[in-house]
Amino acid sequence: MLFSIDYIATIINSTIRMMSPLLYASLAAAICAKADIFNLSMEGAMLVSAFFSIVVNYFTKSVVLSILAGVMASVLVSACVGFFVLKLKASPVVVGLAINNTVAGATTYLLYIIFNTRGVFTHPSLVGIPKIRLPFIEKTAVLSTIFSGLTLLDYMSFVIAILVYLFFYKTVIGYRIRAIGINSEAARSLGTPVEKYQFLTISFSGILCGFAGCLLSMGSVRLFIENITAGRGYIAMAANHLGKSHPIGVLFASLFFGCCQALGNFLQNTSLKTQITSSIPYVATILALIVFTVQKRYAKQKKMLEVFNKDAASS
Amino acid sequence: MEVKKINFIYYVQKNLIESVKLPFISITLGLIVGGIIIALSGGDPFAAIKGLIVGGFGSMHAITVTLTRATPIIFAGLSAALAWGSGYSSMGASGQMILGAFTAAITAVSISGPSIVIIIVSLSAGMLAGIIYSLIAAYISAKFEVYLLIVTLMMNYIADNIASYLTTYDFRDPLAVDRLAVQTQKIIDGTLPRIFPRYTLHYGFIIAIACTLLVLFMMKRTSFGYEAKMSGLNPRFADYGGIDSLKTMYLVLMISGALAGLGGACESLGTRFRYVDGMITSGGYAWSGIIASLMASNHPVGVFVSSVFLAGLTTGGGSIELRHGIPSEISDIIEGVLTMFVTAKLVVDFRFGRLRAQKEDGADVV
Repeated sequence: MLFSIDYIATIINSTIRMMSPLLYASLAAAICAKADIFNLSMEGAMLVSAFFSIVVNYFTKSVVLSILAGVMASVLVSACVGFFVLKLKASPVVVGLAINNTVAGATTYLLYIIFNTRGVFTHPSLVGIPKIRLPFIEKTAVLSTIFSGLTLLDYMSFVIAILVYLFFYKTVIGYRIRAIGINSEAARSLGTPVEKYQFLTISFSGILCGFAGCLLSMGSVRLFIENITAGRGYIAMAANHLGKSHPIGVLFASLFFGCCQALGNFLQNTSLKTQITSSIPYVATILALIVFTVQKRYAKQKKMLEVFNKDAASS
Repeated sequence: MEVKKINFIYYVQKNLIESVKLPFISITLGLIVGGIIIALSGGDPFAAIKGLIVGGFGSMHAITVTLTRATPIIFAGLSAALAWGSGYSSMGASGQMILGAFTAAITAVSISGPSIVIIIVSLSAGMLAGIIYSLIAAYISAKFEVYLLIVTLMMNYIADNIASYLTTYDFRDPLAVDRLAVQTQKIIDGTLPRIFPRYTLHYGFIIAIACTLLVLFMMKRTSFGYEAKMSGLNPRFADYGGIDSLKTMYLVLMISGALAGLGGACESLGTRFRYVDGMITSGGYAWSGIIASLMASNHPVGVFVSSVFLAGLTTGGGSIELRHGIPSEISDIIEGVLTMFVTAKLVVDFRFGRLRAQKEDGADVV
């Protein structure tokens, strides 16, 4: 019963829903890494977007306006990080952590000022992002379970991953940005406006985090909880590391972490205790990073041996 | 002789002004931003900021509450100062403090003897928990080339879950009036005594002062401190100079974990008298400690002063929430803004320094 096909379909569905905000955030981390910016502020950018999208949603009841507000807030936060890191040359680690903490404080503060509550805000009049119904899939029960309740933003995350890949590997500007990441001084000497590209990259990462935040607060649920991101921004950094900052690699890494989060949520219904199930994503992150290094070392060793054997054979 | 003396005074004054000037500027900027936010949300910024300062430092009661809150922040700050000052960006103070607080609390209720023995054993147990947890992170980071920052951040979430699990299922207070309260048994013998009977300030604060001096001595007067500082400034040069960087890393992170664990232990033995689920994370001690360490450029005495200041900000925040109806999170916002300006300081300083040097040399300013 536990492993019936329906059950697996539900887990896949949940994985996709958990994965898409992570994918946006990991892509944000990846493009920043490509442009040689150490960006830690995805957590704060997602949180601010989740908050402002709910605020605008409550007052206007318009999904489009809420997404717009969330994305704008997130871009502002990311641009602020860009200003401090690129213009004032502040330490990216510190600015990122400070932004995350400021945003956590500010959203709680504003939650109290605007709605006069603490902790959680939800209201029956909030509008969720409309779900997309695919008529040709609904005929099969399993497929309709897998794709049920997904929004446009969920589907868009995959499209954006591919677009980011095409942008970085098939266009001139993408090539230049990658050049900054490889050697910023060399890129500068060729006349690339390094700071300008970096600033635009980090602002664009704000757009991606904005989508992620909107998904968190208006995707499967319609509410804002204090610290709704719960470390997803940091897990996205790990996903970026695992995916070697390559958009497609990052896609698979966030699939893995999304799966871990979905499993964590599902196992809550079993006899396992909450504390154990909610640790799963964090433990998985550390284990995945360890396995990544071990595998990389093993591959390197194997390659060395091959080269050595070839030399020995030819001589 | 006279000249030397004057030079020395000049040197001290110049250093003092230099080291106080920039935190002062960032505090002012932080307060200005905080004031603007208060004004925008419909409050009176001047009254609120006055309330913030008076609420934090205005009376004997306020000062003792502030110093009580400052105690764990000082420990976290020293822990961060040691790690970050040596170039290891560990965010693990939170997790280490949680496990330190939990271990100390359950040790204190499960052993018996004279209270001084219980205190010493429990504090050491808390410290040991901090050391072990820090060394696990150090091992993973060193052995598998993973960012220490990510490992420690993830391990903080895990530590919180471990302590919460053990408190809920294995060490839950059987005498709790509130059945839902997730907490361990109350410590009867072996709590840290209060310094003044009427106020909450406890001897943990004295231990914090002692640790500040100890870390100061260690960083400035021992060869280990020199090696740690060198590997922070320039790891390659340190390696070249014959410093075993791996050993230094383990030692630095071990002591840093010990300080954080001790901080957590003092919090549960001195303030709460038990481990309550989420008591460290909800206080935000670890994060404030890291800010304190940044504000003071990792100098132990500076960490002490900034910790007291940040604790006062939070205490004041609580007081203006009661009096002016402004949410206490305003102190988090001020803290965050202040932090961003604090690190922006480094380069401003550097630029001015370079401009001045070049002017003195008569060279062109590039």
